[in-house]
Amino acid sequence: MKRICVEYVVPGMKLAKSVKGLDGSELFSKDTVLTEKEKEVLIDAGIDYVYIEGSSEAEEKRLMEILAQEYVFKFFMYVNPDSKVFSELYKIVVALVINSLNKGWEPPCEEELRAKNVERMKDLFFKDMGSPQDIIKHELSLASFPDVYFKLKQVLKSPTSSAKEIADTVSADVALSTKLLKLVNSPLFALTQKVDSIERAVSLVGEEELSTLALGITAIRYFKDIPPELINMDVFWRHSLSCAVFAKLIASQLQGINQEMMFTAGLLHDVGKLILFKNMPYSSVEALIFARENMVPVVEAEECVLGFTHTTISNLIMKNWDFPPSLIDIVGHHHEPYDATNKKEAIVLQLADNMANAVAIASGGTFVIPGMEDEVFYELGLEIEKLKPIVLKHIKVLQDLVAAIL
Amino acid sequence: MGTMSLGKLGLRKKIPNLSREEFKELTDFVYEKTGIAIPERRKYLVENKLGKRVLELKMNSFSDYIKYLKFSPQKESEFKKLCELITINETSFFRDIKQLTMFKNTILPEILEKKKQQGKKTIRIWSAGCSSGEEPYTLSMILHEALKVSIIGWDIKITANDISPSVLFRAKKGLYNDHSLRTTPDNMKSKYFIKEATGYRVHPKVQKLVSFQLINLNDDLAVKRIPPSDIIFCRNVIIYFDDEMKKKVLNHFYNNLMDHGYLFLGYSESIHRLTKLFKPVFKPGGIVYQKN
Ligand SMILES: C[S@@+](CC[C@H](N)C(=O)[O-])C[C@H]1O[C@@H](n2cnc3c(N)ncnc32)[C@H](O)[C@@H]1O
Ligand SMILES: [Fe+2]
Ligand SMILES: [Fe+2]
Repeated sequence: MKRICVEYVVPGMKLAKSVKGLDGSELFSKDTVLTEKEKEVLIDAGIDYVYIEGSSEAEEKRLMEILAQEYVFKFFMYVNPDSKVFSELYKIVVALVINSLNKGWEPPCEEELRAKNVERMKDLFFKDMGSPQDIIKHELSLASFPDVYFKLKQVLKSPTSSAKEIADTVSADVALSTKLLKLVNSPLFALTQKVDSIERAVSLVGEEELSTLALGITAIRYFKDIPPELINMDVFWRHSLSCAVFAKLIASQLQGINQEMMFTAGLLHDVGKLILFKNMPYSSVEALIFARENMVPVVEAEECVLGFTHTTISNLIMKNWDFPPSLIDIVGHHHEPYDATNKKEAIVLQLADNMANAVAIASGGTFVIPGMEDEVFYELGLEIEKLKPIVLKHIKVLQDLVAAIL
Repeated sequence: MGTMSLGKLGLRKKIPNLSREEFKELTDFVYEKTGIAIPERRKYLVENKLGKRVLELKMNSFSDYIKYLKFSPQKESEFKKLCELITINETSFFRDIKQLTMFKNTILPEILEKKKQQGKKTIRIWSAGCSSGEEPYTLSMILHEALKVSIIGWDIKITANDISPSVLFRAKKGLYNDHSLRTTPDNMKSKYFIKEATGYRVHPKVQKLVSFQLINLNDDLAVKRIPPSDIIFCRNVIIYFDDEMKKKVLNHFYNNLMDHGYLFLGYSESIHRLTKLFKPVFKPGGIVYQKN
């Protein structure tokens, strides 16, 4: 017996319990075999869930597989159906969903996947009455980026900087150094020995590299004060971290790409969304609703609803904070890697974002896969067969990292 | 095994391929008929969405489907079907409550006062692109709230229309589920809805003021037949049109509105780049456009 949303009923499923209407009267009795007709009645009646079973165990398994395929396919509507890359990802995700279903996971109903309207929160300006620059100006007037980052920058800039100085600067921030140590000790970094001091971490990972990671973790702290009723911060950072892990894992398969830079790029890739949520809360929710309804990626919905996107915002704010130019370039182009100066890195980030969204489907993710062209993917020189092992490795390390640094 | 067969199917499943030319022909057709502009970047989405319909009709290609749409004896009914597939009908009762409150507290009293002075107790409202009826019914409820029992002394008509037959069918039925009521204040819920086995029914006195019609906003003749309005609500509809179609529809609204009449648009729809026919009036809660 399984509880599923009415929308996911596959003809042939049998009711394991009777279904009652809103006023308590019985609509369908137990053991009714559902067809498209009954399904329509249930949907019209506003019934959310039904308990179903197959006529045999094998039949139930078959129905669950169909359910998984249909469920996952909805998230892939925006991508090229002939894409080899996304066909592979689709298959991987269907397998993950079947696995989740077997463990008792219940796929969220269409209604839960939709962003909820909120009582109108005040946006900084009405449509076309302000610009991304106004948002940045307002944001900068509210809060400043954590100090430790600028101190670290100072140290790095000085020609006489030593590993010790860097380590001292980071260590002065206890929360930051704890998280950094947990991060570099995670299997993701595959260091051969346990690192128990920042000084050691600097020498093993590198000065630039460790500072880049410190930057990413510092940014998480800065953004933690968004009103939580508007955006689920856990889900947001989980997506960001998931993207970071994918970005690093993909980069590790390629030549000449800075893995730490990619990790931080992954962590920061969508921060523009957070700034939008803070300053344009109502429009941001409208954009999420628009995205879901139209089955389009959030970036495209932002363009329709706001007239600009989170990448523009990320770009501006990172420039104001004086972030490393390559990082700004990569993050700013994760939806259009073709225009990036660091093209290959931007492609890695785009792929990582797609994979993060795809894998999240099996645990209730809500976003339509934004897609990318296969030709762009091929520029990386990564074999499609590598995607599956990358996903498996990702799943292995993600949970611990969530606990360690979020 | 299920997972094995997946390997062969991949994402394409069985749907036919949509070529660039077919996509263009199809979207040109949709645009010409409805004003809905589908951007190139949504080609795969169109392919995946309409592919199912092509399969249902047991056709082998989108070209066959396009011919069927344009030339077959069933073209009228297939066009309606197509409208259902390509329109987005997302709506709810009391959607954007700040704007509606502004309407109730500032615009509506102004109009009622003016009418009383003129000794003409008639109100005409047009809900253009009404989807499944939540918006026009909400407006009816707001009028009931504003006029209370004195509503019987008024002649009120809310004309609501949409291009999609299936949403209008639901609108006329007037039976809704929780999802439609998700932005509805509790006191409105208890006052204007009747709970039934299969949902919430809109109270007959609310329904009485509203009439529904299948009308395409791109159909000039049909639009001209809509009675002149004091107020037009067209929310979250023109966001699907391109600038040319937006201008055309705004012209229709201009011609339909009585002098100094008001136009309400969706939250993320701004028109000041497009036309000088309306004057934006800024009120707490939102912008409303007044006929110049
Ligand atoms: C997103 S709904 C908006 C419903 C409601 N006005 C609201 O704001 O909640 C948009 C509606 O516009 C309708 N529509 C789109 N193009 C149209 C056209 N050319 N003529 C009439 N209605 C159209 C769609 O069928 C859909 O029901
Ligand atoms: Fe993004
Ligand atoms: Fe993302």
